[in-house]
Amino acid sequence: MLAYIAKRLLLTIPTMFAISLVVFLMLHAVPGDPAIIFAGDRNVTPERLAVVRRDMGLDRPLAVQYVDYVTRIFRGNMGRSLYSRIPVTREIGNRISSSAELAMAAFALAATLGIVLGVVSALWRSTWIDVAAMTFAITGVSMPIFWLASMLIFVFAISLGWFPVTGGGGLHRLVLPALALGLISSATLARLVRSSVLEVLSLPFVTTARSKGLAEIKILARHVMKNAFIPVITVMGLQFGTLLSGAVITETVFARPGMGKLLIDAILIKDFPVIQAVVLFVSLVYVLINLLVDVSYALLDPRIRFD
Amino acid sequence: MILGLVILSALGADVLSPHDPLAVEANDRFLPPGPGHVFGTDILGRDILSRMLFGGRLSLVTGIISVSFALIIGVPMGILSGFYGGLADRLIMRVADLMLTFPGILLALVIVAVLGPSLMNAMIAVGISASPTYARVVRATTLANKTEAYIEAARALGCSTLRIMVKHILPNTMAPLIVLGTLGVAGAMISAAALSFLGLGAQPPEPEWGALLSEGRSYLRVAWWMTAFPGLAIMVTVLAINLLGDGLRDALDPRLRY
Repeated sequence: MLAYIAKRLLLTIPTMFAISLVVFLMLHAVPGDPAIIFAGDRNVTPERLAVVRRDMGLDRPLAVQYVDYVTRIFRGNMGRSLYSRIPVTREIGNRISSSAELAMAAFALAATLGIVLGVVSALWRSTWIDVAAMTFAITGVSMPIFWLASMLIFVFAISLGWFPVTGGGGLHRLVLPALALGLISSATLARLVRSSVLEVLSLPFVTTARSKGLAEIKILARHVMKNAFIPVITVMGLQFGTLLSGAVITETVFARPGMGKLLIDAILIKDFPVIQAVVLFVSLVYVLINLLVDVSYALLDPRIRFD
Repeated sequence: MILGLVILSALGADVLSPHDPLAVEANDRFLPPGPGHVFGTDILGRDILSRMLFGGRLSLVTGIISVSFALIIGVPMGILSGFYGGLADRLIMRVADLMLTFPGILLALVIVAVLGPSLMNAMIAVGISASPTYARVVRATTLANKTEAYIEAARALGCSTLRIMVKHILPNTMAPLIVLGTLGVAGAMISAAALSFLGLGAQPPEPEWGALLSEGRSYLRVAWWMTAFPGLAIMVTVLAINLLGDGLRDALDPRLRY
């Protein structure tokens, strides 16, 4: 099993390099001369352009630029924002905690609610509990995040005044955004958990276990759950990705000073160093999460270990 | 139930023209609440209902076009990959995997960042970021069918490779594709609306539903209807499409009926 983990770990390295390559190429994929972007204003003289070009190293071959880019990253230098001139690393650092707490809160909510609803629906299939939960689920899946967020704001923050509308920091301000992000994720999870559990419940070995006289609870806990959760874990990993991208919207709506908002603002003003850095960072986090998912796969399902 | 909702949303978008005056930007009245205009008006006095109806057309079309892009890119990728195998397969799959390593709308965001904000670019972006999923599915079906007897028979008859791919393998990939495509339209609509909401998709004054929501956001306190109704529209439409997709899936794959 250790071999499996090691192999997976090794595989992530080329992936990360590939991501960094894509991110790097982003700047050069833009129609137009990158030097102009860096120079900022529209009316740049050719001399100024040449200076900028030399400064940013844009006159060297692409491959060299890429190597330079990667080495700089390893040293922790991701460039400066084109507008605020603040080192991007610092900008990201300022906002990590806000995004992280939102992501974790939403994930916890989504996982708990989703799993509980899914399991309960599967066990009490076709009863009103099932119907109610699944109606909730399919509605949730169809809801656009930004709408849910806005409605939550309207109902709970403006009309009822229970929670503050915007801003970061503090448990109080975490509730609504986490709800917005987490509810939709939980809907997807609930549906999946339900179908997965149902599928496992219909497998022959469950009937065997029952006829052996095992207590229902034991059957559930030991056999059914372990098996049912394999696809669930994968989706949970994928959901984290959705959470990360959903966080972008949520942070914008709630005006939280997180990385998502940073990214959107950067895209709107074409602040490429920031865009590149944030995309790189978020993707790397996602890759790591998927790695964790794969590893837990191996823990749960012995079949996978002998890949 | 499924069909009812779908027909409702489809009609809602197409019965636009006669239904309301094309008063997308006509009267200069200012935010009267609720009825008078069925869904109220926005800050420039434009009737929300009309904007919503036109927006419905935009949003639906956006969803469909995005999925079409995804299919145009993804399906050939999948078929080529599955059919030829070997290096081509590995290469194409690596690219697909790479695209999938970007979470959610991040890839679409990047593409829009590069191309610039516009509805067309948003559609392209969403289409591209959705294509690897279709490629994968098509590849799986291609692989499964590749070794079937009838392919050998077709070859023996002298069918050219292209002909085999199009006439024989393609139809077999239809079933999962239809389901995925339908659900994909729903997803694409939400993604495109999200991009528009963030200001990266439809630009004002296009009344795309996501854009409408973003317009309403600043006035939430005063004019909640600007946000509530377009959002509900999105939700109901997407819900209808999801139900349709689910229904299709059940119909096409009896195994999943429990």
